[in-house]
Amino acid sequence: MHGILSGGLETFLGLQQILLTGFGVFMGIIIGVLPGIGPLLGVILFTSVVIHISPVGGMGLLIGVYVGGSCGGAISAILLRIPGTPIAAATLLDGYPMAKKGKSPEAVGLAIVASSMGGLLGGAALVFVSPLLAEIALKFGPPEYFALTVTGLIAIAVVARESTLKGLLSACFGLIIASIGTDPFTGYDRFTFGYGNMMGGIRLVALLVGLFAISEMFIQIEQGGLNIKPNIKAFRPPFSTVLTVLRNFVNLIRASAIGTFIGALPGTGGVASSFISYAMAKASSKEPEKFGTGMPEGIIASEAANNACCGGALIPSLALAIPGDPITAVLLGALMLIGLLPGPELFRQYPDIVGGLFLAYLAANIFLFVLGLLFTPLFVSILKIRKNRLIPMIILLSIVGTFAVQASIFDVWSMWFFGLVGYVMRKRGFPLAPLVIARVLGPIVEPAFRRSLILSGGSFSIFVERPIAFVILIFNVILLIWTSVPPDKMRSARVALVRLISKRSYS
Amino acid sequence: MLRVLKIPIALIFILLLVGGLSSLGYAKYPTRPLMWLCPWGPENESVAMGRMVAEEMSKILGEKIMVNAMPGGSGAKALKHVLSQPADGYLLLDAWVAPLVFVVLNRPDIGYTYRDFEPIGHISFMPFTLVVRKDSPWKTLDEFVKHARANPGLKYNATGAISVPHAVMATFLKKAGIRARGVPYPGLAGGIKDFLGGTLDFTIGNFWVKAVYGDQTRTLCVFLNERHPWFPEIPTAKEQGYDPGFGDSGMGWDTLAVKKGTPKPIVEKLRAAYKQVATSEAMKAKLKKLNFWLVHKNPEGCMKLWEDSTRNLKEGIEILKWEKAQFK
Repeated sequence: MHGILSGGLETFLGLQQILLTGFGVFMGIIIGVLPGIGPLLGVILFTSVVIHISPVGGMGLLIGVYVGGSCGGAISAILLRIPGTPIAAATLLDGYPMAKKGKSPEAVGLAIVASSMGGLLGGAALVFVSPLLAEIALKFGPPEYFALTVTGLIAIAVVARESTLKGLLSACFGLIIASIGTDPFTGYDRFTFGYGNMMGGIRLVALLVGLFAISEMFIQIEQGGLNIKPNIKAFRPPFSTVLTVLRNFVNLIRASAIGTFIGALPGTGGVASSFISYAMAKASSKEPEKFGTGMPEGIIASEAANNACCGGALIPSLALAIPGDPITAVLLGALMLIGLLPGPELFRQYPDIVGGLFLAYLAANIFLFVLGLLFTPLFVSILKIRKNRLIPMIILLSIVGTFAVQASIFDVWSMWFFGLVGYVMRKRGFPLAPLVIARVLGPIVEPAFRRSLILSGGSFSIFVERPIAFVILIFNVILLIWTSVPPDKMRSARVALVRLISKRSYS
Repeated sequence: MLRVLKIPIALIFILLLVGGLSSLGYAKYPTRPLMWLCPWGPENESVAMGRMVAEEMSKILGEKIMVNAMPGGSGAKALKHVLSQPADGYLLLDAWVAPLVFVVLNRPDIGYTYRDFEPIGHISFMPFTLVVRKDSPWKTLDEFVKHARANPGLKYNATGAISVPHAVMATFLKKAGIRARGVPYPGLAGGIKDFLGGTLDFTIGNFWVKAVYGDQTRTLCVFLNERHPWFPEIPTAKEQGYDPGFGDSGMGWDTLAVKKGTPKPIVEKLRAAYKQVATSEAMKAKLKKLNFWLVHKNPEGCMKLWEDSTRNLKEGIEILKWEKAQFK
């Protein structure tokens, strides 16, 4: 691990890499502040840029957008009571009341400081845990990979906020899209309808930009209010918020630990981590009744957790090539675009690049601290941009970005098509995240399954005989059974669980 | 208003005039950037190789050459794309043996053959090797063959299911009287982890494997007619009596090509520019760092390689089918 970090210094310490990471954070905060455009969309829009930059510089840019975007949403949550991103929803609970009391500079300052510190703690976990995990994963063969990817597929569908059935359906749709193109085992075409352009499958960037960016623009246009300009005054957060956060270090460390752990679980992400962390902070507080009225602790718990979550989510993504959420799925896609195959082999072949990515992540959180506090007035005034200026800009960026990846007009048409698909799916309450995860995991899970059967000569016993694969598969079965429990029974079980946890933390 | 626009309008007219005159002259090629199309994904080393060669060529031609990766259908997507574009010499194809010859043999319905392309010059050869782990009991090819004959069902990384390296390895194994299981992976790199981790017993290798994993592996033989100058210590399979018999066709190779029907003067200009780059020692050394063995061949030599490979590799397709049927 020492080698990884020192190698990383060489690849990261260059003007281009550092500036790009800082720029990424800056753009990330702006993207996070704008309602409706979260870090996911930001990372997607910037993905097409990275192929023209050095690997660490390009990924630094994306990681910066990821980190900045995960924090930026807090600003609009606090000031407008609209979370810029869903992951800032828990921040709203105490952030908005604080702003109403006239303490918006303090609230925004707390959010930024807590985010960057939580992110740094999550980064520490990333640096220590992921090389170990990669070391273990080197022993994993096709059966283990098959079992692991199935876990990823089930988990993302299950934790989807909408119904599990719709989540699973969405994941199946993603798997079907993943199977378009040439069958890797026979060389024959699947679902290409004799169309040469589809031999390579649907490009991930086109799919993502369509599903998320284009469909979001449709929905924004539909919602109206294209000319509204909120009336907000710019301000600068006081530096004393740093001290407030440090005084709450127990809360900070707990929130970061929760965020990292939940981020590392496949399927769960920022939203869950910030709410759980908020609940835990409330439960262990001496004055829980004051939560929701503008408690700084509430903001710290939520923001530290959702940024630590980024570091956590990167752990399985880099070490196992199994993304924890849609954003890391896109990051993995970008990594492949620039010619690096994520997974345990990456740690062995390119330790310097892995180290560079670690440092970019840590640096992004430091940038978040500095840029966030320095440019708050600017970020606040971003909220005044009208939608009728913003929407055409984003659509233009989407088209250019999608085209730039492979100079292919077919990709642009795919983008529009999936824009419509995404719009319809959202209208009917189908979650999009399982589709994306399935599109990324599909090309891993299917060959892993078929490869396992070739290894065993067609016998399914290979999944039982190998202990690690067997244990993971059993876990998958439990997960599936757990989800088939009716929701009302589940709710009472969940309440009991929360009670149990909060009792423990009192004693 | 009009006064403001005067200068831009005048400039546009001048540009149109110059453009019109130069297009009359036809011999002016190239007048805009070219594209070098690689049929593999951006993670493939051949994209980096393409950038190096393209950069030197663009210095000679005086226009930028952009390198674009277009994976899909074992490379067939890129070849089909070239054929769908005009034959104007602005789209160069890095034609690898897999899409140009092997895919066509496997799928005669694919819609093109090598005759639809015009060679510019040969780029590289990539000889294949047989590699085992350093901790394995087999020190020589003979020991390996003896063990594998007695223990049918050893597993190896076959790279692509329908690929030239797989065909070479399967043919070698069959002729040596060995029945083994070829496990397909996305390319050589995709299966190296399972090979090193112990899931597989041996692997198809090349000089990249030797360079990157030399300390953990042992290369038992190389599938060449003679020992390779880079690694004279590696014996050939042929000298030990196990020749798969493909000769030059049994290597990974690629040729720079354009669509057939490209005007003769343009083809000649490209050939001259490419030859100048490909015969320079500096470029050879550069590509060696990426483990590409740069060997220049004239256009006739390229055509012969295309024809020979189409003839020789046909047997490989049959042997792949045979191998697949062994462990049902």
